[in-house]
Amino acid sequence: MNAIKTNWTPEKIDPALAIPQLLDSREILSRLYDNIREQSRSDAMQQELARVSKASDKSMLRVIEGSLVSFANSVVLPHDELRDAMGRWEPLKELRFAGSQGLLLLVDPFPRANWAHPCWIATLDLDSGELRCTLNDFPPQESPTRRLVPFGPLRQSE
Amino acid sequence: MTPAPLSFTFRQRRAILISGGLDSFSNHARYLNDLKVFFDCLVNSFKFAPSNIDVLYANGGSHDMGGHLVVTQYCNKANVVAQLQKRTTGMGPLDLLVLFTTNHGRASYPAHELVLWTPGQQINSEEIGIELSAAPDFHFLGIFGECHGQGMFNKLHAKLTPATQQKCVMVASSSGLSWSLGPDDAYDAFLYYLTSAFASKTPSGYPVNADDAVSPDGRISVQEEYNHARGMDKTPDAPDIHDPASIALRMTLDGMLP
Repeated sequence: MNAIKTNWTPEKIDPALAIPQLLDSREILSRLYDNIREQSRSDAMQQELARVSKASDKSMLRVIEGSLVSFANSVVLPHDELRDAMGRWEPLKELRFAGSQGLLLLVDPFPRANWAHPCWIATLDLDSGELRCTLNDFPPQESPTRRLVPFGPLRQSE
Repeated sequence: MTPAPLSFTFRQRRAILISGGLDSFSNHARYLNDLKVFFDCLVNSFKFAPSNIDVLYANGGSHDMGGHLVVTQYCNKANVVAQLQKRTTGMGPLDLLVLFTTNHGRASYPAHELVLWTPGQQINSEEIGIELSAAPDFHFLGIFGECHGQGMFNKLHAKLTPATQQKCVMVASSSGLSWSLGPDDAYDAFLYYLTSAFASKTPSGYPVNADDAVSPDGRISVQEEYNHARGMDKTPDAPDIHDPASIALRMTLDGMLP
C-alpha cells in the first residue's frame, strides 16, 4: 500500500454530479498513475503482473497506461467498511482514511479479461487529498447505493 | 458428406450451463451471450431436449436462448449443487453430461474456484467432482471458460469414479486469464470459437468447418473443436485440453466414434 499526500484544498462536493469533474480537474489520475508506477517498480509487483498478463515482453508501464479507471458513484465515509467483490475486507483495510469523506477508485489494467486478475483499488481523502492505493485480485464490492462507473484511461501528468 | 457412423449414440444427453457474474459491475454482457449461443448450439444443432438443460445465470430471470424462453436459476452454490445432483441421477455408461461454465474464476488453493453470483458464493473443482461422482459411470464433457479454468482439470478428475474418468474430456480457455473477443467484447474469445466449431457456424451464421482437413469424416470431435478454437483464438488465452483416456478424437455431442 502506498499513501501520497500533496497540497490540497478540501472538497465538499455533490458526488453524484461532481466526481467526473473532480477526477478531470484535480490531477487525481496523474497522481494515481505516479503512485501505481512507483509501486510497480518493485520486483514482486512486476513478476505478478507479468505472470497473469503473459506480458513479459512488454514494459509494465505500458500495462499501467492501458488501465481503465472506474469510480464509485457515491462518496465513501470514514466508518464505511470497504470490501472487495468477493466480500473480503482484509485486503482493503489499509485504504481507510481520516477525513470526513472520500472517493473510491478502481484501476483495471486488464479490462478485457475476466476476473480474477490484479487491479489497483484506491481511496482519495477529500479533506486532505491523501491518496491510498493497494493491489487486489477483484474489484470493490458494489451496493445498491454505490455503483462502479467506468471513467476513462489512467494517464500520466501532461 | 455423409457423417461417419457412430459406435453408439448417447442414450441421454444432459447439460448444465453456469455463469455467475459476481455483481452487476463485473457481469459483462458477454457472459449471457456465451450461454445463449451454447444453448442454441445444443438445442438447434444437436437436438438436445431443452428440458434436459439447466441454466444458472446471475440472479436468475428469463432469457431467449435459441428461440426458447429459458427460465434461468439464481446462480448460487446451493442451486449449482442441486442441479449437479439432479442431472447425475440416473446417468449410465451410454449417457453424456455436458458442464459448461463461463464468467469469473480464481486460481485458489487448494482448488480452482468458479465464482458465482453475490460475494462469497463460489464452488471449487473438488466440490463439483464430488457431486459428479454420485453417478458411477457416464460420459462427461467439461467446458470451462472462466479465468484459470484449466484449474478444474486435475482436482475435478480425481474425484470422479474410475469408470467416469475413462469417459471424461475437459477443455479450458486458459491456464491464466480468460479474455473477451474484440472489438466489441460480445463473447468470451475461446468459447466463441469453440461453440462456433460445435455448431459449424458463428453466432451470426457464418459457416465454420472444424472437421479435420486431411481426413474429414463429417463428424466434428471434441478434439477437432478444441483444435479449431485454439487456432482461431488470438487473444492472450492459453487454452488446454484434459484427455487422459484419449477419447477426445472419438467424442461428439451425438455419440462416440469408433
